[in-house]
Amino acid sequence: MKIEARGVAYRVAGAAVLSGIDFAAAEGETALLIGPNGAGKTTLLRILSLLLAPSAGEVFYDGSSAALSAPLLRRRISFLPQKPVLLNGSVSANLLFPLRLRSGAGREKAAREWLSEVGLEGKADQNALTLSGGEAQRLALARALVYRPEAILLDEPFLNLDPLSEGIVERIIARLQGEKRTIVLCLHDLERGFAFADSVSLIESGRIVRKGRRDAFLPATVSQARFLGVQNLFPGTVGDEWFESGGMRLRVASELSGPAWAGVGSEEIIISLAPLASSARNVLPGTVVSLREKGKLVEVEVRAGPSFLVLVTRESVEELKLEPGAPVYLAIKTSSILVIPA
Amino acid sequence: MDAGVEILSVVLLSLRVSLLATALGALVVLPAAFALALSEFKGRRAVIAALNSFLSLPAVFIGLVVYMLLSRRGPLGALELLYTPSAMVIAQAILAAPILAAFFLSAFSSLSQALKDQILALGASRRQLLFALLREGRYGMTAALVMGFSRVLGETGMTMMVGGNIRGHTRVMTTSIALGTMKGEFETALVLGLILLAISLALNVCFQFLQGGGRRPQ
Repeated sequence: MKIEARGVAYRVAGAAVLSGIDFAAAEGETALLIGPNGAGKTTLLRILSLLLAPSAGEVFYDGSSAALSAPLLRRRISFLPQKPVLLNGSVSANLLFPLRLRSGAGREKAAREWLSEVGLEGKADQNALTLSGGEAQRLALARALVYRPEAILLDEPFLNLDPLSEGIVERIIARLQGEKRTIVLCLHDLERGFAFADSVSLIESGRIVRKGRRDAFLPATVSQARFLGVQNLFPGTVGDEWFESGGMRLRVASELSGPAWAGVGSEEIIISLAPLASSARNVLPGTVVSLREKGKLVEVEVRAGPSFLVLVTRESVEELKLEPGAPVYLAIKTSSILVIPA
Repeated sequence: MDAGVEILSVVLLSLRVSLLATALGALVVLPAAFALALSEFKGRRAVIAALNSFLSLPAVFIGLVVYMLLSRRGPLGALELLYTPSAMVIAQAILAAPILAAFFLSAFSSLSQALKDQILALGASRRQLLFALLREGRYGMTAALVMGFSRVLGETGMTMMVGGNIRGHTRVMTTSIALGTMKGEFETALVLGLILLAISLALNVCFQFLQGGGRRPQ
């Protein structure tokens, strides 16, 4: 099922929430919507789910306008809101609800299968409103999928989940991708989002400011780069495939010239005790300034001209004996350096 | 007539009249309250405020109006309903209506836009949405019915005005207690009073239970 928005706008009391949205999720594709809070992602998702009529523009399903056949189309798609909304009844009544809206056999069997798929098999008779946050989200997901929708629109399905629930939801999304169902996914967690996505659209202030295939999705402005989590951003000038900032020179793969920004993700830099003989064209001597734990990893600040943030594992910190004042070398491949015109 | 049999028939008539009155009142106000709770329009708050002001309608005034309508010279006099259980049902239904409306409204207003969205998103048609919302509001709705029934069951003056307190015909618990007290026949009055008290307490327990069951956790 192909989902498209053409020229979609949405206004509330004269204020534009969305404007000029052109968006498409091809059949069997996972389209990722990213953007800061309040950018309009949820509104767009509700419009694509046919729960909200756009102020202008149209939504198309498989190439035909969805406006007239919204009730019928809604039966073939599914929308999972950020916060699960469960019915005041048992867990199994919640799961059976969408199946009872439709005719067909094998309801109980499908409900049982999904109950165990999301790890709630022991809770079939419990009132759904008494479930924990993670269980409620899992039940809401199972209920959204139990009738085998052809397209699934998920709004932050990992929000407030414990690791167990996260694992279950991840596995289910991967399974849907395997079944080639069309998925539109809104996610805050970019790393996880990029792992799932075929295409990415970045929304800022109600507009899609950037879109592309996952592998070719690069930020076009410094603010987009910051949003996408590029930690090391330096202003300078670029020309003849060299970037200069203060006293630092970096070999880059860019044909731009003039004022520009260079950006490197903190996970793209290799730290070593001696200059590496490697394919990395940029090797910079520096000194460790500080170390900060970041989950399972450690963020090391290294002064090498400007300050770089580098993510390494705890094992690396121990093996390389990294501590403030230690002399190190940074290696950066030219292809890892993003050059953005200033 | 045996005293026990008479008490039983009085209790049964009380329950029948008040149940019918509650059902009649609910039938009239339920669709309106449902539509009002789920719609958005200018002046909605004013309509709700106006509805709520009917809560303070004095029962004796309702009795007067119904009496005048049903009396032989009144516009509905030809129906010959005055001093019948039907007249009592009509008056009690009018008394119950604003109470029912206020509680129905509060029950349905707690159903959020997100809930409506979710039911539609799961593929419900307009009609299926309506039934699903009614189902979600079932605890609040039942609580409203219990509250309305409890109010009219205890009503005395108005019921006596339009029913007449005729023995074996329109005599109910409250009017029987009032008459017994005036005549100094406290034994029957006390028995009926205790039965009424027990029913009221039981209804109150039901109401509290339903209010708790219908509340959605925040």
